[in-house]
Amino acid sequence: MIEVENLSKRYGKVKVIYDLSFKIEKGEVVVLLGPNGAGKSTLLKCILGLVRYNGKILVNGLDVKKKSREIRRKITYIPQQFILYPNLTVEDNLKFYAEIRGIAHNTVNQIIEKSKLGHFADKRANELSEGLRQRLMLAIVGLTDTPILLFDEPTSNLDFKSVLEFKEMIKEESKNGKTILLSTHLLSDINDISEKVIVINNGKLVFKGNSKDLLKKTNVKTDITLTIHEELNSETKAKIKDLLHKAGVENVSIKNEFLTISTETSRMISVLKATEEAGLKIKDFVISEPSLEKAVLRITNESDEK
Amino acid sequence: MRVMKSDNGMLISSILIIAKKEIKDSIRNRWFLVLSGIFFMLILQIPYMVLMLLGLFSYENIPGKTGIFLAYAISLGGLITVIVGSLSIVSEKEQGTLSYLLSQPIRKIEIIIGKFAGLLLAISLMMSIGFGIAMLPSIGEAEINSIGLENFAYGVIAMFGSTAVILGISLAISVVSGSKTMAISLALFIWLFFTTIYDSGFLGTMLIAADETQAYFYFIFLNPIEISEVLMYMLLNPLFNSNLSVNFMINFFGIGGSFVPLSLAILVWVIVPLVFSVIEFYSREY
Repeated sequence: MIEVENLSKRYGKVKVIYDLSFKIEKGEVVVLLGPNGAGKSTLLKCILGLVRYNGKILVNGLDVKKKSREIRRKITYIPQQFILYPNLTVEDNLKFYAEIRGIAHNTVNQIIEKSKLGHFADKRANELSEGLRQRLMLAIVGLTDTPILLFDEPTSNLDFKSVLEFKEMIKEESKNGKTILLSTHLLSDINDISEKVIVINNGKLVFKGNSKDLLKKTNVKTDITLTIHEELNSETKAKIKDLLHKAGVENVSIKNEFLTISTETSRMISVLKATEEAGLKIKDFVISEPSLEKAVLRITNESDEK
Repeated sequence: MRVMKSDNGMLISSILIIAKKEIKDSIRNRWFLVLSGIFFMLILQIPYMVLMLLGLFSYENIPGKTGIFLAYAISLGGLITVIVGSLSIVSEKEQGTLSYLLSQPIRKIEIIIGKFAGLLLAISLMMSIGFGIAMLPSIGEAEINSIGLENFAYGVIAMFGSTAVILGISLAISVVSGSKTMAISLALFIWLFFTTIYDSGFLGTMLIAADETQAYFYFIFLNPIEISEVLMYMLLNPLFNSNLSVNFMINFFGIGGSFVPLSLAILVWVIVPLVFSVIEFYSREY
């Protein structure tokens, strides 16, 4: 449904996307990950035909360079910033975007009711509270019924309630068979949404696949942080480190009364047994599962080093 | 109401949608309303109002001053137009609505023409009402014929022309500006240039090139505000006024013959900045 082939983009002398290629199938929900400035927004703008680029992008088999207007009719794009006209009323904001898309006015009324904005229909957007503005923004997004949705950092301006509503909306749209590309640097956004990820860094594709494969590829371990009763002397520290290494632990760090161990999830029990054998009096412990944040950080750091 | 869509050709409906939005946006914009209020207070000229209230200047004399009021209206209307027009694209860029608007199935040319049409209507309406209200005190005190409704209509036509020109220029400023501050600064300079700096240059040239009529010709046609004012004076009362440009036009083209070059010049001044705006808007990435 979205095919990107050898995409390159530069702003003046600065190259922001390098030879990017990937394919998103119909009905897939893909999360586009990467740090700020990685080229995520530019990539979305290329798909929409809003900026010039080298390479080829096909949406539903149509070339973006030749049929960008037709393609934009099939895409709903949500930029990072607010999309509201501050002087227009809630109803006029919705009507304006509806008219551009050729959406009937009764759909606007339905959306107003569904979004519980009925009491505020005559209020200007700049008179609304932050929460209501967010609700209006989601209502504008909900106006269109396109097969493809592109989101550019959608939750950066949303409060926690709107984030939950947004996630529900994504799930619903996904169930309806929509193709969704969601760009974000907030990894909490993608929980429960999709396992398919594309990671880009400095305009280069560094990973495409399943988030579990990304964890495997980056070899991110489980972190166990133990709080012990007393500070250890250097002799005991060396003894403990030795025992833990024998139990298969790669990294051990001991600072004051905190002992942090990085290990494979499967070795967690044997590591805990080893700490017991070492005679450590444990006050508390925290287990941090391998996180996507760490995996993305590691893979982007690795690509920086290259 | 479902709008008919076609991939070929420009969609009048898209232009109308943008224009309608611009009119609504302008009418609800507090700055626009404040500027409109200032506009009609200033064209009436506060000294005249004070004189009238003191009984030192008769209401009946207002119609005779229509030309002066209109000349002020064109200059001050230009100030409102450059401010509103120069912010039209750049403020959408800064508030983030432009990216979303461009992601819709709409062409950039439709956005420019829609904005131009909507703002032209909104500003012209505001100026016509403002000018009409400013002239209200004369009604009832003077004979209706001497108020000169046709003069009012001529004035409105001339204001409409000058608004279109200034709006075209200010849209171009808005497209090329990177920020609202830059847009406003450029716009104010352009307005100051055409209304004040240019006149000084005109006077200077007049002194240096005493009989070089061609120089006057360029000076009139290179300043859209000057063209509008000349056109307005000629529509009102071409024979009895001391405006140098009007006298020059009458000598050069005659009374009847002046309207065509002046109107054509206005048209060129509208089209050229608009075409420039469209080309620049297409060449820029948002």
